[in-house]
Amino acid sequence: MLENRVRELRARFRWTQDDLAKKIGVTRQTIGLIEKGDYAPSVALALKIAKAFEVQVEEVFYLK
Amino acid sequence: MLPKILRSPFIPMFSYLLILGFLFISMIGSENNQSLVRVCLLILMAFTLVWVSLIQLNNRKYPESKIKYLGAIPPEFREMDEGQQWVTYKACRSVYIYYSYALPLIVGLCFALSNIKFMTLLLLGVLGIGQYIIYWLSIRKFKQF
Repeated sequence: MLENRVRELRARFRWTQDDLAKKIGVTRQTIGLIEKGDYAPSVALALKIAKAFEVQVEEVFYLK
Repeated sequence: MLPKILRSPFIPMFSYLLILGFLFISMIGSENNQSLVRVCLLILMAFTLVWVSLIQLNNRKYPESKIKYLGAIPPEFREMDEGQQWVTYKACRSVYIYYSYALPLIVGLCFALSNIKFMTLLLLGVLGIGQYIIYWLSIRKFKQF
């Protein structure tokens, strides 16, 4: 199952869901879905999220 | 708030009910219901006018997520990004499952109750309302509504 640290990283950067959504060009609801683990993003979106946090994609998304 | 209202599945459900109501009252055929038919037609026209005005307002306010009046894609579909498309996919999947069970049931009921006047129209109404409710419940599950 795909897990993620989006919420944790967002808190570290002190960003709201809306801030992150605007940075990567998606809706706030999509960030919410990813954080809750309801939705596994595409590779492109996962890479965009990792780039926004300036980390490797494996540091944001990992299999459990 | 405005996009939420316009993208709600209750809007097409309400217009569907209005059309069904209008057809039902028109088909009853008594002279007394002529005024009722006119009232129903007026409500339908007023509803369409309000809906078009609200879409114009929405499109002016949110040019990045415009709603088409007569597009092939229903306004309740959320297609702003991949997450929203996924929610729409899940909701459509639920509706498809609903239809695969409801259609044979409705056909059977139409056949069995064919002696009752307007039963087909009534069952079509139930079938349609079910579709909107299933869609809304699926969207709500992901707190998108």
